[in-house]
Order: sequence, then C-alpha cells, then structure tokens
Amino acid sequence: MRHRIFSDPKYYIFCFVLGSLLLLTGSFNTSSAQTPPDMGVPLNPEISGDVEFWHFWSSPVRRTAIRRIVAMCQQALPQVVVTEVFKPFGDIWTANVAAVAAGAGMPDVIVEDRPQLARIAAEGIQTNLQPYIDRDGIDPARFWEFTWDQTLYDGASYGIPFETDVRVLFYNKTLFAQAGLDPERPPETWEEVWQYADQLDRINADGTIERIGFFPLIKLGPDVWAQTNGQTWIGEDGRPQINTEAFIGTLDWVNQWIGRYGGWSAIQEFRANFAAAPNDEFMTGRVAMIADIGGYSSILNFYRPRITLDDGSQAEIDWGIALLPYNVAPSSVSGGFTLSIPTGADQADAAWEFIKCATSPVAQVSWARDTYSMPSDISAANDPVLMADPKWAFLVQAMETSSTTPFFTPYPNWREQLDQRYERIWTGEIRPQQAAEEAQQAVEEISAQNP
Amino acid sequence: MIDAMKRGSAWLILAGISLLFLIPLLWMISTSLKEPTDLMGFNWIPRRFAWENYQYAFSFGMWGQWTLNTVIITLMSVIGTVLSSSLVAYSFARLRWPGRDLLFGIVLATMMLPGVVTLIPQFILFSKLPAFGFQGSPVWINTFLPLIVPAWTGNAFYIFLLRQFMRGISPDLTEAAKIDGASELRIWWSIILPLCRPVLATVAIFAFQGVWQDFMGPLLYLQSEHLYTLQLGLRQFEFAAGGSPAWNWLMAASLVVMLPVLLVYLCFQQYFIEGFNLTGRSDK
Repeated sequence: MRHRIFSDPKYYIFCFVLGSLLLLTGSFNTSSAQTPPDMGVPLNPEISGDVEFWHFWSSPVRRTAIRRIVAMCQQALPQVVVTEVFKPFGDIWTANVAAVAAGAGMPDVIVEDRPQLARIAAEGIQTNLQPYIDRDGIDPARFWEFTWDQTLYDGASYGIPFETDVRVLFYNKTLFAQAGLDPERPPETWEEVWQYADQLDRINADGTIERIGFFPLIKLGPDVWAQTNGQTWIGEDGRPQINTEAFIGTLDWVNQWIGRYGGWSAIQEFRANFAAAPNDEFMTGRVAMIADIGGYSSILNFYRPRITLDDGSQAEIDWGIALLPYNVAPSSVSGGFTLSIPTGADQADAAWEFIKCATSPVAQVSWARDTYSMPSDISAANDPVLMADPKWAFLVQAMETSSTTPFFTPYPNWREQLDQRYERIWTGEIRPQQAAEEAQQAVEEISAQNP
Repeated sequence: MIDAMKRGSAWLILAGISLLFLIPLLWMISTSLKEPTDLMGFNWIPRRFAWENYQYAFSFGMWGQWTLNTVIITLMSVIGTVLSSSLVAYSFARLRWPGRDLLFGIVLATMMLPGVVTLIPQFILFSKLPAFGFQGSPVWINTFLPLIVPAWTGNAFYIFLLRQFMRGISPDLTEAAKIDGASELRIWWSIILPLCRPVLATVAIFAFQGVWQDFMGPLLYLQSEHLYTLQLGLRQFEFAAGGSPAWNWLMAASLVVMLPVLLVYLCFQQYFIEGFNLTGRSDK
C-alpha cells in the first residue's frame, strides 16, 4: 500500500505544491517580521531593552486598545520588549512616587495626568524629555497646542501627549421636545441657557426642585465658566490674575443660578439624590443640560438611560452635544494624559522609542477608533472613519475652543485659594468681589515667599 | 405572657437592625444581577436576572492566579501574625525581664503611628533588601516578601490583645510545667497556646480580614500583574463603563471575593465572640 503511494506521481505533485505553499507562507512571514510597520514617525528599530509600562486602562475596551498599540509597537521596535501593567487609577501615581523616592521599582513608561505634569516635573518625579525631542525632531505642532503646552515645565517637555478631552454641554433632546424647545438648537450664550431653563425647570408646589433646566456647578467649577466670560488666568506679567471683572462677573452669574433654585442648601439637598452614572443628574432626567467632558458620551452609550415622560411612558434619552454657553466668547478646558518616563527608569532609551511609537499618528488612530477617546495628535483626531460620526466631528471642532492655564512656578497650587472660598461665596458669607480680592492677596503673599 | 411579648419585641427590633445592616449586601446582590440599562433608580428586583455578569466579570483578568496569590499571602501572614504575636505576648505577660513594661509601652505606642508615615521609608528599606532572585526579583519589591515577612514580626494590637488574655491564665498551670522541667518555649506551645484558642481565633480572623482586603500593600510592592491580589483585580472594573464604574460587574466580582471572609467568620464566630468576652476580663 505504502509502496503504491510513493510510486504515484500525484503524491510528488501534492508534495511539491504543499512544499511551495509552506515556503511561500514562510517567506511572507519572514518578510513581515523583517519589515517593521510604518507608524508615521521615524523610529529606531535598533534600540533594545525591556520596557515596563504602567497604565490604568483596565476596562475590556481600553485594555484591548492599549494591548493593540503595544503589539503594533513591538512589531515596529523588534528589539524592545514591552510589558504593560495595569495599576488602579489614582493609585498608579502614589505607587510611582514611592518608587521614585526609593530609587527602585519605578516603571520605564507611565501614563501621567497632563494637567498635573508641570507640578510633578517640578518635584523631580519625571524625566526631562526635551533632549530626546530635540534629537529626534518631534514637532509639537502635531498635537493640540494646549496639550503640548501642558507638558512643559521651565521650557522643557516632560511627557508626550497621549489622549485628551474637551468640556462641552450635553442636553436632553427628549426633554427639550417635551418643553416645546427645538431639540436641534441648543443654547449658545449665558442669556439663552437662562431662558431655556425657564421652560425646562420644574419646581414642586412645596418649593422643592423636581427638575433643573441647568446648573453650572454640577460637573464644572466656576473657573471654567470664567473663561467663557473672557477670563485669562495668567496675566501678561506671568502672574495669576483673580480679582478681575470677568471672574467676579462669573461668580455673580453663578450666584444668580443659586438664587434661582432656592439657595445653596436647596441645591445641595437636590443633588444629594444622585450618585455616579447611571444614577447621576442627567441620566435620571432631573437635569436637562449638563457640562461634562466629551467622554461622557461613551458612558451615555453604555448605559442608554431611560426616563419617564409626562404621559407616563418610558423613553431612552435622546441627547445632543453643544459648546459650553458663553458670555464673551466660546471657551473650554481639556484634561488628558501623557506618556512620561519616571526619574531613575533604567531603560530610558527604549522607553522613549516606545513613547514615540505609542503617540504616533497610526497608534493614536487605533486608540481613538477602539475607545472613542480624543487623541492628542490632530491628524489622528481627524481620521475619516471617526469624522463620519457627527458627534465626533463636533467634539473635534470643540477642541478648537479649548485652552490651558500656564504653570505658575512660585505657587503651583494657587487655585486652592479659589477653592477655599467658593463655598463661602455660594452661602452668601462673603461677596464675590471680596473673595476674589482676598484670594488675589493670598496668592501674591505666598508667591512672594517663593520668587 | 409579658416575657414572651418582651422577647418578641426584642426579636423584632434585633431583626430590624440586622436587616438594616444587610441592606448593602442585598443591594450588592441585586446590582450584580442587573443589566447596565437596569442600573438606574432604586428597583430591588432586576428586570432580568443577568447571571452572565458573574461569568463576564471573571472572564477578564487573571482571577485564578490572583486568587492563588491572595491565598498564599493571607495564609502565610495569618500564621506569622498568630505565632509571632502570641510569642511576644507570652513574653510580656508571663516572663519577668528588665525593661519589659517600658518596651511594652513602646510597642503600644507604635499603634499611634499612621501607616502613611512609614510608607516611603518602608518602601526604601524593602527596595534595598536582596531577594536573591525570589519570584524573579533581585530585591524585595515585586515579591510577596514585603507583604508576608513583616507579619512574622508581630503586631502591636494583637500583642496587646493576647497579653491581656494570657495574664488571665492561672500561673499554677505554668508553674507545674516548670517543675516538670518544661522550657519557656514548651510552655508557650503546649500549655498557653491551647488555652488561648478563642483569642487566637479572634486574632486570626482579624489578620485574615486585614490581609485579604489589603489594597495599599499589594499596590505598592507588587508590580507584575501575575503577582497581583484579588483586591487589585477588583479595581479593573473602576473605569469599565466608558470611564465610570461598571457597577454590575464590580458587584458580581466583589461578592465572590468577599465570600471567603464571610465563610471564615461564620466558621469561627463562636471563638471570635468568646475571645472578645474573655479578653474583656479584669487584668490580674
């Protein structure tokens, strides 16, 4: 039997075809392994090292997305072995600070909170990346301007922007329609949002709040609203300016909203009914318009909240996005993260190559498509697949209104002087003007001690 | 009749209070069985019992490995805590040596030191101690050692608890053993420890609960995910719902993770209560 097979020419033809196929497959595999993918930025595939990368993206979607980027970068940097490690959000930075202070156990790359980066850099926790940036010619213009500016401390960058976001207005189209408002025409100005709230508010007979049209302090602080009133936090002399007409006017405006809903304690009582999503103010339909980061849309998509309509029926909330209502000019604030190298990391060169790869346009598009988070790379944000969604296109447009406050070295936490006074303003204990002047004076005094 | 009424009303009050304390647990069970769209509002009964939440919660992450790690760390720590604390307590309670009371005062004083104060110095210390490649690490960081070894050096609160109990044991028993030629270690092991069973169970339950639920220690000292404990694993659901906690998966996983603590308590609750009653006796 065996003999007969070997004498059959079909056997040799089969072997030849199979062998050729195997060779071809092998050669394809070999060629793909030898040609690293083009990530859209020049990388040095000769660099080698074991890179430990700490992040806090644990959800199935984000974990898969970051693993995809790591896999892409492993191909692009064949000599670099990246181990991605999940650390819980917030605690990731505690663990890093402890490790840097001890001089051992820190990762080679960490996801850092971008608005805090300058302060952290000033404390010596992150490595100055400027020499690498200059050597490899990284162009800051690739990124949204404010995302790059926030990586700077003393003129040098301490991280490459990874993802970002933007504060916008979410409004409940279902409630708009029920109140006789045009669901496709959200309010644009402070005046309009006040008028819209007139139609959306519902106050019970006993004076308690059933529904609020809009309240500015639910997810944002007055400092963001001040920017929509023309406030610039750092003056031309490079120092914080607090006792300005724009800021005091904003505090007065917030106080008008507080008065509208029966005072600070009435609002606190109303807000005590809510928790995190999906039991927050907006998803329960108890607040018709809310300002939050663009990423709130993915939470809305996850929970698909339903509300009870006036006729007793239930309906899934139809929601829209708009720019933050303004008084002087549209403005917004963005948070987000960078990839940074902690001080003392022993694989800094390999870590830098990985950072370049993970923040490249190709990796950023991959991240945005997977997670629906705004990339810091402008070209990635304008990816045609993403731009096909009108809500995404709107968020990209909103990015143009966002800005950041420069770091003030003599007193990095100067905003705490505002935070300490807000509650006293809202309860009527002090007037906005007095609070602003007190805060200004405190900032001047403290910063004078650390010139 | 009046007695029966009194008993009945006492029973009702106690049942009511028990129910009050059970509400969070019942809410956890309810939430763990809801679909995301069912998480809004205050409905106790899920529209559909989403049992798949349990399957899903444990399909993402190295739960088997994390459970094994937690069991190893917990068992080793509990054994270490019980043995070392009881040995030190024995010395403070039954032996006479110069400076004993002063040292006991110093040990008690360490209870006043917040853990956060020693965080960085401890980290620096552990990052310098050689591990000789144990669990693939040259130093103690990224091994179980910082989580287990300190437990073998005693705990001030448990030492205090055990000392109080040991001082209540009749000296006649140990004197008799001494006359028979038993060493102090033999007395501690063969006479004192068996008599201390209720308070040892109390210490073991406290230690078990503390280590099983410890978050900060594993967060700081464990850097490879395959070494993580269950408490670190639970945090992966924090941002699972597009930046917000995925409550249903979080509750499903939390319920399963807390089961061992509940079981240990239920198995040893008799000793636990007894231990507390006995340590409350007057000091002799």
